[in-house]
Amino acid sequence: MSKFEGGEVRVELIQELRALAEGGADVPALVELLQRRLELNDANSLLPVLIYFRTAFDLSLREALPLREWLAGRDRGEIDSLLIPAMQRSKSRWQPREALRT
Amino acid sequence: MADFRLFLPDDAGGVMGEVDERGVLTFFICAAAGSPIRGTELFYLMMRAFGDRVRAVQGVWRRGYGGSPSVNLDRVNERTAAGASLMSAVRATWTYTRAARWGFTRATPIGVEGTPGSYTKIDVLLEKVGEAP
Repeated sequence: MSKFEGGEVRVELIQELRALAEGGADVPALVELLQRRLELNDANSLLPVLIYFRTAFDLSLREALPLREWLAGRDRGEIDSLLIPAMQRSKSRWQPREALRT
Repeated sequence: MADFRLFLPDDAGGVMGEVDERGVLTFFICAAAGSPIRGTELFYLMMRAFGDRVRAVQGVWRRGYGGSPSVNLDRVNERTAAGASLMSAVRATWTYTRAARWGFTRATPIGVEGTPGSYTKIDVLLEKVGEAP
């Protein structure tokens, strides 16, 4: 049983995904992090990975859907070329901001 | 925009759907072999939940990387390899047959890559006859 049971999204994991992406991590590295943290295997990864990517990077389901086919075959270059541009487009909405100075 | 999500216990799968501002539904369904609710039922639950918001259903079908299965695209390739037309093959897919039961019977390909028998990408819009999103 994975730690995704119930479908809850963990805020600290969202923040970790964003920080890694900000640091240049590719899509497979982000998926591997999710699988490790949520104790997922290839058979039960699809829904959690789609939900975390949509939440972390403000992607539409349509933009995130290529993860569905990729998870089974894992062509590293191909998934990056599909998802990274979408993540970059929405970056202003998910990028961590500096705390306001008072 | 409207979202629908349903997760089954014991990692047995679930459904995610998103209806955009034009009423176009994109969805993802996953039902494990031992799932207590089959994919078709999950689709129907989602359609009932969205109701009249859905003006069209968009299929986003891609070749499975490394030869992994892609239910709808594999069906299209199987049929077109045997000589069927693209539209006839689309009408034999899992998504089309389910959506058609809700009246979405007009299929319009909006993005196609590949050739008969080896398509790698198909985006298809399924609409009710006489309606446009």
